[in-house]
Amino acid sequence: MGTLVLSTREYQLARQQFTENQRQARLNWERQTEKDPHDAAHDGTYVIKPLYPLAMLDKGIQQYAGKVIHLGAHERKQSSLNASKDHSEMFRFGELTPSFVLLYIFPLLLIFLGYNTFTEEKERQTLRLLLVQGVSVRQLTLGKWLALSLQLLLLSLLFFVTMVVCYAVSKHEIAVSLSDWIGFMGIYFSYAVVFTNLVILVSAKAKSSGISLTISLSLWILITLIIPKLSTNVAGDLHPFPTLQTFRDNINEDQRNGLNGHNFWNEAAQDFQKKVLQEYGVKTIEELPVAYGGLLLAEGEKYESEIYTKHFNALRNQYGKQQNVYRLSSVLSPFMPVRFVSMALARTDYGFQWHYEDEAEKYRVAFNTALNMNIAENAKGIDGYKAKTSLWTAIPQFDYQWQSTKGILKDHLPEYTIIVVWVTFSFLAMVLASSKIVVV
Amino acid sequence: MIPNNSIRLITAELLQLFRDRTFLGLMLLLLVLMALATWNADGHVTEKREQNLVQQDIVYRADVELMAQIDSLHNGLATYEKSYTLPTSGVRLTYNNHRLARLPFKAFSLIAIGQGDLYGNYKKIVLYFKDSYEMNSKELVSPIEQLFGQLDLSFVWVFLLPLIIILVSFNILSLERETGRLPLIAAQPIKIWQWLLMKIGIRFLTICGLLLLFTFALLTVFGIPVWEHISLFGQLILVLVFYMAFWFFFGFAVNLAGYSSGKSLIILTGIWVLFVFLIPSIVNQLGKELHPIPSRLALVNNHQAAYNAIESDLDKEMEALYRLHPDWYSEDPVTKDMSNSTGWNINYLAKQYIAQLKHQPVAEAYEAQVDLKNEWSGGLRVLSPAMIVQRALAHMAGTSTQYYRSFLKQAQEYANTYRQYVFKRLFTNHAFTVDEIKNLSKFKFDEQRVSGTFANDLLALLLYLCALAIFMLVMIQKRIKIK
Repeated sequence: MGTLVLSTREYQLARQQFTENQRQARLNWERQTEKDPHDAAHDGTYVIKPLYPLAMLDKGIQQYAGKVIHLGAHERKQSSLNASKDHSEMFRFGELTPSFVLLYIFPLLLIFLGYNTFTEEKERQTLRLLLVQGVSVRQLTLGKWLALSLQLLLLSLLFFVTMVVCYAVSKHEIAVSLSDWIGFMGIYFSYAVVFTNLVILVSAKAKSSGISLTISLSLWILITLIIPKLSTNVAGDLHPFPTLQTFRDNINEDQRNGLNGHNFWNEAAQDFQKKVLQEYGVKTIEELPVAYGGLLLAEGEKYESEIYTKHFNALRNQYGKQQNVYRLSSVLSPFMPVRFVSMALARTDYGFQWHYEDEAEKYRVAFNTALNMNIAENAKGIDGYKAKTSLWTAIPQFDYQWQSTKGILKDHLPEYTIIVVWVTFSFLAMVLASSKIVVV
Repeated sequence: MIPNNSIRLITAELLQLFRDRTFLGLMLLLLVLMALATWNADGHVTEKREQNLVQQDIVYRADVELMAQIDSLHNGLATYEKSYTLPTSGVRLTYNNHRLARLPFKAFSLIAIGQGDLYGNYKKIVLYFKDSYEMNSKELVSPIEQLFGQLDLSFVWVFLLPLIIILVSFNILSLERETGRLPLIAAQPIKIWQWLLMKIGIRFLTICGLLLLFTFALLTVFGIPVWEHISLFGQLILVLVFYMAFWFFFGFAVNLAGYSSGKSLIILTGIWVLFVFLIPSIVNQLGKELHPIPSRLALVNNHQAAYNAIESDLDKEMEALYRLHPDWYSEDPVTKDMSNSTGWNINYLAKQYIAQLKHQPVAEAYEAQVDLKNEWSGGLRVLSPAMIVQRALAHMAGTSTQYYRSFLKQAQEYANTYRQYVFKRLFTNHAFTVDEIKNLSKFKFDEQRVSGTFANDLLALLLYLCALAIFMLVMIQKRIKIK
């Protein structure tokens, strides 16, 4: 419960910082002096990743992904300011967050509560006594399963009620939908049920409590520690991201012969010039009613953005391949699908990162177009044109629209399916294993 | 002299141990995990080494090209229409020929990836980006991979090795009791605690020996000349032996306390969770609470606000700049002509430079706060041997935060010196020569500036062992009645 209180405090502080810094970034933009709009575009502005209320439960990749994006001319930048770099290596031991408790500590508690479910009966030879009273092994198994599940349910309820109280006492600009809550609680409850099933299954098969506990703990280590680490490392090895140098070189290569707004002389610029002259029905740039430089900058920006989109999409496709490896490893570890769905619902996953960066890129293009078109419309015949400061305030702020829960659930359908499979098969395996208990 | 009886017991115990399938299985698992971890870390380090070489090559080629062009220009073999393309121009040097700061890899870099997946081992020293003044370095890495962390030897040793030790030691005595063999042992001419100590000691020494062998073999297979770094290898083994001893002590204590196998395992796992998960997480949390770091976003905004303020009073700011650097001032009309590339860039770079000067105290205070928090939590590593060992390994591998932050600080200092050298010449429209390009200063990482932690780490582990040994002696003295 303490983790919930701590996380709520931290979330409130982060939200406060977000609001203050976003306001300051906007003020910095609006308080610029009169200047060439394209110079202003080069100086650019900053947008900061917002926080969804469920982020207080699962911080996901927040500490490892950048928080802020610089939106300027000609270049799509990645998010920067990775918070994890401000911590020492000890940070890698993990943070005390509710998701940490639910993913690691909760299953461990279940193991401690249930490792001797059957072994104790075997060791004390009370199993025979129970069976001679007319209880079938299946009934006994279901009874024991229900008893453990009830303890689990009580613990979960206590946890989730505290969670909702923490949410209720915090101030939020966005309300968490009921489907988010149900999804979040459902996924963790299913995870705990899988562990309950596995613990009872092991207890039914093991000869002694010591062996049962050893096997259950080994499973816990495998499921929560080794497979997640191995699968992400393997995914990275099988489908690596290019180095930043290669990524930039590829973009530069694509840009080399295209429009870039500052190059009036290459073939692409000449073609664009012909097209503009034709549209306006004039023969020379001087005859145009607008400043040609502004049009070229605006068109160049669109072209460059398309190239960036192409390369960022390739990067995302590469991540998609990595995601397939994670999904494959979910067959071996229920931790994986639960971790990914939890982060997705908290909007602290890589999907959110991509969505936010894509939306910011759309805004960057619109932002640059507004500035460059101001040049086109006003700078004709003016040497050293400077826009009035009212232009800065006239450009709307970036208004990020959150991805809907429905969309997230759709994107993570494979994870949900795998969890359902885990719950069903682990339950069936538990029933099957207990029905084969030999009573001596 | 070891009595014959003891030798017989030790030999019998060793034979039994190497016939024990569970023990052999766990040792095999340890070997497999260590091999996988070394392979993974080797791939990671190799990739980073290649990145460094690529960056080095880019700088080298650009410099060679620039020098050839200056040579051609002097010999009248080439002409340049635009001033910013002139190879002798400071603008050209500023934009096309960045410098490189490289952090050398340590011999044992693959034992701990540490913070290596967050930081690069190189930093481009560029003079024309606002963010080039910030302490950062970027690479394209999936944050998912960073979140889950890398499988390296450090992870296997810090997290998994204690679990293996727990699994081979939790039921030494309880198993005898549960299988009814305890009276047989009690009948032997050896005290139960001595018998237990011998069993635990043999397991400890066997695992130590195997770990030494596995580590030596794996590092050698992956191309590390261990013999050349035998003292570092010795330090590594010493830290690991102390860490293993810590966990074996707990195994001994729990056995001595006479709990059942299940209860012993729960207690030992609880201790593991406490030292490996809870204490480090609590220390991290406390660090954040007691030494909160203001948002880096505030830094970005501060820099931007400083930049805006300069733009609104540029003439005054430029005057102040020339008072600070009188040797940067030039009467050359080219340097004042904003329609000319040199003039425009002097203006642009000067604005950034002044903004950086104004922003510097805020940035330095921020970095000092980060260092303070890290030093504070680093000091608290003594609360958990797992934290001590993790940091010691990262330090030996040269992948600790301390290493990377020192590297970035040194790179920043180098960038400042280099920037002043270039700007002085750019602002006075100096024509660079081949010799000047050839003799441009180079970055060299000074490892001495990273304070060593080995002695402190070892001392802290030793204190833990002493405290546990005293605890054991008290337990034995009180003649705990073994059930």
